[in-house]
Amino acid sequence: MSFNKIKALEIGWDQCTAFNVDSAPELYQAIKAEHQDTNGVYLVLSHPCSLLHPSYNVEENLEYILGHVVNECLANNMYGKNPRLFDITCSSTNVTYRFNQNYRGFISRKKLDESNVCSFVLSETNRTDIKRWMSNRYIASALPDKFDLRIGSLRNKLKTLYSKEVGKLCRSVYLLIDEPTKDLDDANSYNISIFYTLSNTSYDLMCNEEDSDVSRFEVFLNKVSELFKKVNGIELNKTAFISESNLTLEQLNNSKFIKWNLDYISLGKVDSELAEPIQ
Amino acid sequence: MKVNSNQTSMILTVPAALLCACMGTGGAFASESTERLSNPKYTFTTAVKSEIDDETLFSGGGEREFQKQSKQLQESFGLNVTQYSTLMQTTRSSVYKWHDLNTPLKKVRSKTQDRFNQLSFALYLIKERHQTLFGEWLRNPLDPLVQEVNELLEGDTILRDDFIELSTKINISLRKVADTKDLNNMLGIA
Repeated sequence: MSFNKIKALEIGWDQCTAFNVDSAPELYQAIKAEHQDTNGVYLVLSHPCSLLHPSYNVEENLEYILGHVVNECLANNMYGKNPRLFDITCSSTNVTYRFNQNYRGFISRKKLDESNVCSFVLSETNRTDIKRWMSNRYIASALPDKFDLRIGSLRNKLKTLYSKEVGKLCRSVYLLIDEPTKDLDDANSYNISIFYTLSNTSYDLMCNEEDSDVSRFEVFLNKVSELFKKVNGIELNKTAFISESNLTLEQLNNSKFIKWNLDYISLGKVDSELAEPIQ
Repeated sequence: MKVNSNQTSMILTVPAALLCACMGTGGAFASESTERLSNPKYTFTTAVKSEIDDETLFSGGGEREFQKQSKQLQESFGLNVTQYSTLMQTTRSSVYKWHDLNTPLKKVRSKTQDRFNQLSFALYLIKERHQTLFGEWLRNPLDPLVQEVNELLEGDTILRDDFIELSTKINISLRKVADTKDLNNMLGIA
């Protein structure tokens, strides 16, 4: 028995397409019990080369991630800002789902070419966001434990700020840090700048507001600066919004320019578990 | 100068004396008038009535002034000689002659004066803090907005309404260029 690639393509199978209990009951049955959710959708994570490979011997399984239905998107879970959770509203059904890294799994793809995709359709941008979210799971940079310790309770305050109006428009947060790997002693401070990326539309909105009396974006940046004034050992030099469309590969590959995932859990969270400082 | 407020696409004209005054004050006119002209409620007619006196028109006889203003316009907006000559619809050698302040021009043709006035008034819609980036930005042939702006600025006449409409987009685009440069500097990227 071989995989019918043409039929699978006709059905619409691809990376980031999805199935559910109704569209693909046989695939659903293959999912382990703790991942089964009759209201959920199963997003295919497998690369098209694996998903549609003609040989089952070479590519036996497909990888999925379960999305549970939730009431609304939380700002901090949007666009892949949170490495563990991804909230997204399906434009075709207007239903919001939360994907959780804990609900990933593999099933045989033997019935794939006989099963249907469901009506969970993502835009190309959303697909890219999800793929980036998945890859960041493995390539995201870790910050020094000392840095995380100094951020301390500010983390929650920032998360609260980020969950509001302007924060919701931020697609990602980047940190420029002078010492991205070293644990500095108490006499030395980390010098940082924070950049919030915006879509073109949001960036235009910011520019237009800039010319008016009150800019919500400016208020947001001022609040961030105020919060950092209370932190010892971290000097915030600059905060700014930048357009996502203008970031260059050279900038993104720079080791000092780090995508900042706020729920990053460091060893530094518990003093007794601190690893040897990195000097 | 006659200004017809009913014209939808008015040809830009601006008195050189006014430009001269603005340039000489570190671009004060540029920032102030740019803000006001960016405001859709602020029409050129308003500007003309309130700021431009018919008697102060660039009327020839100020060749030396023209040379200085022209040089300053090119430099302020980061335009290279080729770009500037294209926008002024002249040759590179003419631009070199104009900007040689040690060799006074005998005469500035009225066509050249008009073109200079049109170009100046359009370019001063660009926010002062981004002006120096304009020339570099204008050299990106892949950007559809750049193509549109080049087309407009290289036309026989520079239409005010069209440029005002574009100026918001241009300012946003230039701000992005400035962001990229700032970030590159911070990251040590040449």
